Amino acid sequence: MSLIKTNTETTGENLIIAEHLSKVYRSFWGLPRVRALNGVDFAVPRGSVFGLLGPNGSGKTTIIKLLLGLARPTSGRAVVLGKPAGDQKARARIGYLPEESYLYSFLSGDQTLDFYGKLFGLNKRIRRERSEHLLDTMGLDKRDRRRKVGSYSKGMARIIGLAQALINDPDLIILDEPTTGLDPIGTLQMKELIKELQKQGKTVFLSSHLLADVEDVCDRILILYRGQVKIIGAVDELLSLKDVFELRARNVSAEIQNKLTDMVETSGAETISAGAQRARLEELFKRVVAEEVEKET
Amino acid sequence: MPTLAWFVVFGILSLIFVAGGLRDLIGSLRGGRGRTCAIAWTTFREAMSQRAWLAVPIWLVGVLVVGIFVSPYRLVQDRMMLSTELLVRGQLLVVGLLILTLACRSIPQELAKQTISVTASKPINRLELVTGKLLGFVVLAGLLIGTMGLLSYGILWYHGQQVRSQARRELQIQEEDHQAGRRDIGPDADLKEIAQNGVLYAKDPVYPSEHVNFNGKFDPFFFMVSCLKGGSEAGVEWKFDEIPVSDRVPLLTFNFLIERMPEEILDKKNFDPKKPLTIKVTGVSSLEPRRFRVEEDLELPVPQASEGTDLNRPVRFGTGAMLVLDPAKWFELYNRGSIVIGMSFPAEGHYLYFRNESIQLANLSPDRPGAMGQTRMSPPEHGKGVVIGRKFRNAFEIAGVDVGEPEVAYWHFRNVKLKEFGPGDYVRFEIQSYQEKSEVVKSHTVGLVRAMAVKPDGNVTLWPDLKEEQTAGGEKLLSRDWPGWQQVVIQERRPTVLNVPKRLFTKNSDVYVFLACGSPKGWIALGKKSGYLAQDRRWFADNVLRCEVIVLLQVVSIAGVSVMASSFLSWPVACFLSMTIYLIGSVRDYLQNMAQFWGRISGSLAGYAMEGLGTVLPDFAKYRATEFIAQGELISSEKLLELFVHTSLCAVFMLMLG
Repeated sequence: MSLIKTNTETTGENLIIAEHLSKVYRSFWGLPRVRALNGVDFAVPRGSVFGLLGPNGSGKTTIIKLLLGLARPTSGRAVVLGKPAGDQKARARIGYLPEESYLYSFLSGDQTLDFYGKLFGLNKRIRRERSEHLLDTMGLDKRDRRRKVGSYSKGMARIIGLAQALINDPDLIILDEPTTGLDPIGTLQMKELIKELQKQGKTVFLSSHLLADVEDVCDRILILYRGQVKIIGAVDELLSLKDVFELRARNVSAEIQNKLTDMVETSGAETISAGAQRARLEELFKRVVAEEVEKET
Repeated sequence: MPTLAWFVVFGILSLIFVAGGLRDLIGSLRGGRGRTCAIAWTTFREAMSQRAWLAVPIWLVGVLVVGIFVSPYRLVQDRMMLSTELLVRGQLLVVGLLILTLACRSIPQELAKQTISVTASKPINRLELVTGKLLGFVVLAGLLIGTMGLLSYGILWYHGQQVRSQARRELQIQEEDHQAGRRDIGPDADLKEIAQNGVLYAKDPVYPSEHVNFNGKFDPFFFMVSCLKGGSEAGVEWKFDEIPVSDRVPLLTFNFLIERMPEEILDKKNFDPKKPLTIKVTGVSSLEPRRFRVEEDLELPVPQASEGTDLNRPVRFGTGAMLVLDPAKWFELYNRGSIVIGMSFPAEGHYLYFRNESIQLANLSPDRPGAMGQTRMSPPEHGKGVVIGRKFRNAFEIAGVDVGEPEVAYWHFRNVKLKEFGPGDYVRFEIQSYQEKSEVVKSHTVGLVRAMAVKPDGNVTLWPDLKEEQTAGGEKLLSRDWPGWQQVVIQERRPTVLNVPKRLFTKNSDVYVFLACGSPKGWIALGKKSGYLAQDRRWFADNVLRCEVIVLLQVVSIAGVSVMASSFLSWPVACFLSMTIYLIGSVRDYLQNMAQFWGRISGSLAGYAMEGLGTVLPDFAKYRATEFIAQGELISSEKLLELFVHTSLCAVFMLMLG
């Protein structure tokens, strides 16, 4: 039994509802081999960015496969966009970016997007417009678009992967480890894109084991461990420490800092940390690269 | 034929498959065409990126290299046949294997690379996916076979020109040899034909209802009765589903009529009027024909000649007889499946007449010696007596006449429609005979031909007239006179042409064409498609196109099987399964016959399984394009339609399975 209290309740319309989802992978002879999920319940509200967290082998990818209809649950059910998981109409409104960019190496970037656009039944004009728009936004050079995907770097392949997930202008975007293989700039761009999608009213369901990424972009998270839900809820709620007070200020003199520390101690409260605030490495990296780019231009 | 129970089982299985795929099917019909085409296009691109186009140069080099080492038996007549066989079979081998490998690898490879997980996350169903895959391979095969077909046409056209000029040269030599007395007859008719018309055309034959029939002699008023010529190696066969005796003495009841030839035409050394007449009876088990085989000579209880018989007149005498078989020998055949009872007639100087219903298998009653017991059995409808010539591989031979009337082979054309044969006074009839290569050196076998029309009112018209003797080009080929017969030089392994006057082909009449071998000690071998009426010639390019369509249809079936197998198996196993299905599908008829062959399996679960397997599997033996085109024969539209339907059904069934 889980020691951490879970909260599956949400407000508003849920685009994904999972009820008692279980999945047992079986051998060729039908014998149970691995229990990947065990009675998983959760709901994803419309317009949210939902993070699925867990160590390797906890069942994150299995949940995504069940939601897409790529696998069938052993028991329980999942409803996606108001239809049973795997429904063809529901899949038409979903964009999916897998963990790796599983793309056809013999197609060019343009051809890849055109192919996936055709699978969504988009007409030629819309396919061309959307692929151009997406690739322009993501910064893929026009010459590179005509190259075979097999010759792409990991980052470029990731761009095409993400573009194919967005080619149908989906309501629900499922991202499996979206920052895998991306450099810090790419990771930042990905996070910005997720936030942008949220602003556009899209619902994003992402799985990751990079906690910082999830913390930065997600409204709600679910932590899985060995196929079971250990915790679920809004990020702010789950991470807020009600007995800790934080004050951040700029240009504070050493004298004032000492006085503040003394006041805390004399009041009987405990000082956890005090001193100059460190910037995040991600912010430093972003700043340095941005300065270099500015110099070059 | 599959039984009702089999149909029920097969129907239920089909319904389960169809019901399982019904949702996908409906989804595909609702705008799935674009998705299917997208998958097909990607599949095609993938194959091309793997350099599938290399199949064309590989095939071309292979065919040219093999062509260098394999030369035709006869440079002129067989060149086209050999070239066509090489080109078409080469196409099937190269494209068939390529498509099989690619199709077996495609889905497993996508599973391994996980590209399928992205594709399957889109609004596409399984049926659209496998249909798209199949369609992609069909497009690829079509492109490859189309290119190969064009190249084949070019090569065949070039060979056609070569053959024609070669035929002209050879014809000139033969004419010179004939004029100089180095050759006993004029130039070969087929060479003349090739020199005149070339080989770049397709003939459009009308085949008789049965391939070829045999009889011991020609008698326009008596030929409906079967006949065996005494001393001949021809025989008659009846098929029985089982032998109706157990521990009793088996016997044959046989009604017959014997005609003795006039003594004046007989070779008296071999003819003894006092010698008892015998028939040779054989019983062969269909289960193991070589192992369970019985042979017995039985004496016919008829007086050969009595005092005062005029031996110079043909005499007919006959009766019915109970011929007791040797139980010790025939015991071998009990419970050995269906039995073929064969009969030959070694008594020279006589003809043996009988009817299909002339024979019964029975046993002797133990209670009343000499009387038949309760078990009596006539041959079933499918086992009625058929006169056959001497067996020669897949054909039967008729022997050259020595004494008396010749044995004949005949073709029966029912209700011939004259308008199909174009203008002119004659209908072209062609005889296709063949012999072993080593025997072909015995050229100039002379055939005797005549035709007969039976009108609906029963009137019979004969050609040539009974008293008329016709020789080939005015040359007398045989020392003996043959009034009522047309003499022709039989072209071996090439059609021998005979022009039958159209006056015989009156409305709704049945036409019989008879052939005898006029050369003493000679033989003419006739197989399936040995006699036909030739309609107007057809365009050669049209025939090549039809041939390529058949090759493509066969490759489509192979692709269907491979895509189905690859949808749930790893690629090496899928390859193995597809090749196994191809091999089994190529010997499907043999498998289907096995159930009948193994008498006791038929009707059991194993029998149903065998029949079911034989029927469900695609019949790859049907796609023998070279069977027609190599012989210069037009591939009929009916054949194409039949194969198209067969391929479509096979592909749909395989897709539903996938």
